[in-house]
Amino acid sequence: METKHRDLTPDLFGPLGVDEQESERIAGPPVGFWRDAWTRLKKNRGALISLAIIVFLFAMAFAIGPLVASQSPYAQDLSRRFAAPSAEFWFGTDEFGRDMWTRVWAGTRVSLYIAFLAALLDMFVGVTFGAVSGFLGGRVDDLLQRVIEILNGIPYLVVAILAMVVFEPGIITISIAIGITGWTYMARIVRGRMLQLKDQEFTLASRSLGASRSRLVWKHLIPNSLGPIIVNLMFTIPSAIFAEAFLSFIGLGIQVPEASLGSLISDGAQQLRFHPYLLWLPSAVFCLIMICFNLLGDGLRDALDPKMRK
Amino acid sequence: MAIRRVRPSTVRVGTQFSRGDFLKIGGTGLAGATLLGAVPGCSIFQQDGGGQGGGVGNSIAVNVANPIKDLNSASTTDSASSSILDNVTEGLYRLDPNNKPVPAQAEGVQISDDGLNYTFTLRNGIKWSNGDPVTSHDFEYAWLTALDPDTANIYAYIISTFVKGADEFNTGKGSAEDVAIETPDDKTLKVTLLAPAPYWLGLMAFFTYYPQNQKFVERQGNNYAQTPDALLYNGPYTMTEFNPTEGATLEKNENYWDKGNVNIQKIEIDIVKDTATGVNLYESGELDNQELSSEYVTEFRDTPDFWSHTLFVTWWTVPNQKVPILQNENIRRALQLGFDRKALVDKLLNNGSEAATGYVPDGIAGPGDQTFREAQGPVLPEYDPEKAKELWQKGVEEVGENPTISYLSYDTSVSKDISTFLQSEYEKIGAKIEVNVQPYNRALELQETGDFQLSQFGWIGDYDDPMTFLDLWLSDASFNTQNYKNPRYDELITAAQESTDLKKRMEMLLEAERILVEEDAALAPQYFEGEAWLIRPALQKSYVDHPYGGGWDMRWWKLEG
Amino acid sequence: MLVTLFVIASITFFISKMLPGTPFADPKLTPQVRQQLFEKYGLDEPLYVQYAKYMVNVAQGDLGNSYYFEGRPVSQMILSRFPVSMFIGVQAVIFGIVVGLALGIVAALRHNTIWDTLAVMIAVIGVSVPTFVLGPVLQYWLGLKLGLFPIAFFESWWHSVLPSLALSVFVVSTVARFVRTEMLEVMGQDYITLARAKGLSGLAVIIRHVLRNALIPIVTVLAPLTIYLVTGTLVVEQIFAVPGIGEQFVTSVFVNDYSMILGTSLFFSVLFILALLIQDISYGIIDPRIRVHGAKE
Repeated sequence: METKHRDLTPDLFGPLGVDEQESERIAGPPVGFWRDAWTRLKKNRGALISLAIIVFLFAMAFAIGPLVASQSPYAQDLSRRFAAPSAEFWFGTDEFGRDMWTRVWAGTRVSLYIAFLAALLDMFVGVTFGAVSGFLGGRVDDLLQRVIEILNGIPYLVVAILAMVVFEPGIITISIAIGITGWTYMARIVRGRMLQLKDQEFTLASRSLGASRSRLVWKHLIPNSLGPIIVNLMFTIPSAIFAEAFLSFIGLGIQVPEASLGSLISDGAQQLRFHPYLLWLPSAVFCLIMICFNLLGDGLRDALDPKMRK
Repeated sequence: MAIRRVRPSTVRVGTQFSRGDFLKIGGTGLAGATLLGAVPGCSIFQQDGGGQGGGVGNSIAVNVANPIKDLNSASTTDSASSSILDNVTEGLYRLDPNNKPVPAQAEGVQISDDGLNYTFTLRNGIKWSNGDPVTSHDFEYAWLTALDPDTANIYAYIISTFVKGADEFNTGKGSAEDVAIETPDDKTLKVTLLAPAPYWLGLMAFFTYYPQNQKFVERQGNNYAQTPDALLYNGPYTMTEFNPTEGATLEKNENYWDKGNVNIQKIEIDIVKDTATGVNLYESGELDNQELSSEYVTEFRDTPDFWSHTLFVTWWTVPNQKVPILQNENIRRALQLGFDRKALVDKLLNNGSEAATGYVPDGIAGPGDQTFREAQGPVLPEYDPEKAKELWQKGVEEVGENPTISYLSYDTSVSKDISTFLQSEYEKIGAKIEVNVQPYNRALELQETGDFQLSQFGWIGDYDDPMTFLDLWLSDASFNTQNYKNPRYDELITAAQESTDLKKRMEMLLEAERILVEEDAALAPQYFEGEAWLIRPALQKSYVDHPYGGGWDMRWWKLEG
Repeated sequence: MLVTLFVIASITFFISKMLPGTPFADPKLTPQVRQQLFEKYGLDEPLYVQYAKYMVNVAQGDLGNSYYFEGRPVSQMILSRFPVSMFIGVQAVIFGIVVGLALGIVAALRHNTIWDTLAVMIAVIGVSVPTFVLGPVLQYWLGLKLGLFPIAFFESWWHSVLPSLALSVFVVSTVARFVRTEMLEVMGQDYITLARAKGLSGLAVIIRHVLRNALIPIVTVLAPLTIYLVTGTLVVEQIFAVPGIGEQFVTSVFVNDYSMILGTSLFFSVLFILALLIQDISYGIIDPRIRVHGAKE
C-alpha cells in the first residue's frame, strides 16, 4: 500500500463526517431472504450445471431410462453373459446376462429413494434434536447428549441386522436401518452451531429487543445454521448410498434380484479384474450424483449465507 | 460511529501464503506419521507372520481361509482346525492318496467274522511330543471325552452312530463304562460296533477319533489347546506357532514313526478370507494354494496351476411338504426338471462341480467295486422346460392356486447366485418365486424349525457310504423338517441300518434312493460340489485333499521337480 | 458416564439376544446337541439370570470367553487386535487431515476459481469411491502389478501404507469439505477484514483467526471419524488380511458370539465417550464463548 511511503502525521486525519440520514438509508430494494438466495444461486455456474445434471439424472432414472430400455432388469439369459458394452447392450450385461443399462437406472432409482428417505429422517430428527439440545442447554442438553451417546454406543451392525430380520427386507427397512443412528451426526453439528450462535451479538441484540424464543430460533438461529445443515445434508445423501453399499457388501442390503447403485458397485467390485465395466458404469453414475449434489450444496450454502450478501 | 460495510466477495489473503507454507505443514504431518510408525510399531506388527511361501527351502504356505476356532480334537468342528489337527495328530488309521484306510498309529486290526468286533494293535515306538508313549488308553480317553454330554460335541454322533453303548452315554441314558471300548493292555484297543460297517475303518482318520494324553490334558485344564505348548503331537508335524485369527506354523516332527516319508519341512498356515487377495498372494509367490471362485476359474483353467476335485457334497432344493402346493407331486417333478442343471454348473459355478444325476454324490462307495452312482445310474430326468411347464400347469389345476413361493437362500454369493438363477428359470415354467436371503445362522435356524417353503440345502458326507446321505430323510430324523414321510422308505433305511448282509444292505439303499428321487420327487438335486484351486505345480502331483475323514493330508505332500 | 455405559451394555445385551440364530450354527447340529451346548454355556438359564451374571462379571472387569473361539478370553482378543486397527486408523486420520487441510485451504483461498472447483471435485471423488473398491484396486495395481507395496498381512510399517491409504481418502475429502466451508464463512466476517486492515499478513490472519474459528465443526467431525477409523473398517482389514478389531467384530455379529459382541461394543463405547469428552474440552479451548453447561441463561 502506498501509505508506507508517506509520512503519516495525525493532522492528516480528520473526521469524515457522518450524514445520519445517509448512513441509515437502505442501499438497495428490500428483498426477502429466499428470493435473494435464489438470485445469488443463479449466478453460481457450477451449481446451476449441477442442478441441471441432477434433474437430468432424475429424468433418466425415472422416466427416460425405463422408456428406452428394451429389457426388464430381471431378464436372464446365460448365453449372453458378461457381454462388454456394445450397440445392442449399451452398458453390457452381467453374470446372468441381464442388461446393465436397465439395471443401472433401476438401481439409481432405488438408491435415490433410499438416500432421500434417510436424508429426511436425518433432517427432521437430527435438526430438531440438535436445535433443542443446543438452544435449551443445561440439563436438557445433558440428557439429550446422553441419549446420543447411548445410541452411538449400540453397535450399528447389530441394529442393522435386527432391522433387516424383523421387518421385511426392502427399501424402507434399509432407510430405517441407515437413518436410525445416522441422525446423531446432524444433531451434534446443529447443536454445536446453536451453542456458537447463542452467544453471538446478534442473538443478544435480538433478545434484548424482545424477540420471543421461537422467533429467535426460526428467524435467526436456524437460518444461520443452514450452512452446516445443508452441507451435512449433502453428505447424508451420498453417505446413505454408501452405507447401503456397505450393507450390500456384507450381504444385508437390497435383496436379489433387485439392484441398487450400492449393490451394483459392490458386485462389480468382485468382477473388477475381468469385467471392469460392471464396476465403472454404476460408479460413474454414482460419482456424478455425488459431485452434483456437492456442487449444488456449495452453491446453496453460499446463496443462503446472509453474510455473503453483496 | 457507523462503519461502512465493505463486503468483498472474495478475500484475497492468498498472496502471502506460499507453497512453502504448504510444504511445511504437510512435511510435519508426514514426519509425525512416520514417527508414529517407527516407535510403537515394533510390537504390533506380526512377527514372522504371513507370506513366506513359494516352496523355498522345502517349505510352503497354505491358506485355510477361516479362523482356527478350536484345536481340541474332542470338541472341535471347523475345517481350519481340522486342517491343523489332521497333520499334527494321528489316529489309528490314515487315508492314503486313494482315500483308502492304511495303518497309522495302529499297525493292524483284527475284525471278527460278523464284522462287529475290532481289535486294534498299536504300533511299537509311537510317542507323544513330550516323550510319553501313545497308548490305547489315550484313544479310549479321547473318544469318551468326545461322547461326554458335558463336552457337547456336535460330532459325537460320528462315534455314537457306530459304537455300541456310545449313544446311551452321549444322551445321558448310560454311563461311560457301558461304551463298548476296552483296553486290555497299553497296545490293544477293542471296539464293538452296533452293525457291520466296513467303511467305519476309514473314519479312524477323522479328528474326533484322534487320541489325547489324559494326564497332559488334565494338567493343562482350561489352557488346553490354546497355545502350541498346550498341545501334544503324535503326527507328521508339530505346531510351533499359533494364533487363532492369523494362522499357525507347522514343522516336521522328528519323533514321528514314519518321518522318513514326510517330505515337506515347514508349513505356514495363513488365514486370508478374501479371494482376490489370496489370488494376488498366490501370484506373487507368497501362498502356494488358493481356492478359486467362478470368475477366476475361467482365467486360470488352462494354466498349470489349476487343480480341481469333487467332494462328497450334494446341493439341492428342498420343498417343504407342509405347504399345500408343494404336496403336489407334479409340482415337485416340475421343480426337478424345470431348470438347466448344466448351465448352472458350467456357467454359474464353473469350478469343477458336476450336474447332479441323483441324490448321493459321485465317488461314494456302492456295491462291490462300483460307486453308488455307477451302480444306480441317473435317477433324475433331463432338463425339459416344456414338460416342466405342463407339469406345473397340471399341479396348479389340481391344487387350485398358484401362490408365490419363497425360496430360502444363504447369504453366500454362490447361494445367492443360484437362487437368483432358479427364480428366473422357474418363472419361465410358470412359477412365482420370491428369494429370501438370510444370514447363514438365521438360515440354518429357519431350516431347523422347518420355517421355510423352498430352501437351498447342502449336505457334506461324513463317511464313504450312502447312508450318510440317506438317513437324513427318515421321517423321524432331526434334520427332516421338510415333512417328508414315506413308511416304505423308513422301513428300508432302518432295515439297512441293522442289516448284517452287506450285499442286501446296498440293494436296499439303492432302492431307497430310487423311491426318494424318482418316485416321490422329494427333492430337486442341483449339483455335486467340486472345488477349483490354484496349487503350485511342484506340489500338485502329490497333493492330497480327502473328500471325507480329514481334508488336507500333508503326510503325502511332496515338492517335486 | 458409568450410567451411560451401563445403559449401553444393557441395551446391547438384550438386542444381541434378539439376534436370530445362536452361536452354534453348524449344519450337523441336532436339537439334542444344541441343548447340551446351551447347558454347557449357561444359555438355558432365564434371560434375567444371564443378564445379572454378565453384568456382575463386567463390573469386575471380566468380559467372559468367546463363544466362537473356544476358551479364549474376550478381553485378550480385543486388546491384541485393537492396536493394529488404531495404528492404521490414526495414520489414515493424520494423513487425511494434512492433505484435507491443504486442499480445503486452497479451495477457500481460491474461491470460485478453477482451483476451487478442482479441489472440490477431488474431494468429492474421494468420498464417492467406496473402500471396498479402492482397496482391491490399490492392492492389485500398487501391490501386485507394480510390486511397490505388500499385498497383505501386517508385518511392518510398509504393510500399513495401503490399508491406511484406502481409509484416508474418505478423511481427506471430509476434512477438505469442512475446512473449505468453514473458512469461507469465517473469511467473510468483519473481524477478518479488520485484521487485514490493521496490516496483518495473510498467513497470520489465516492461522490466528480463520483456522481457529473454522476448527470447531472440524473437531465435531473428527471425533466420530476417528472412532470410525480407529475401530477399523471390516473392508480394509478383510482385503489386506490385517488382524484388526473391525473384522473381528463384524464376524462376531454374524456368528452370534454374544460375549465378543458385548465386549467389543463396550470397548467402542468407552472410546466414543472419551472422544466426546475430548471434543467438548476442545470446544471450550477453541471458543471460550461457548459455555457448554448453560451457566448464563
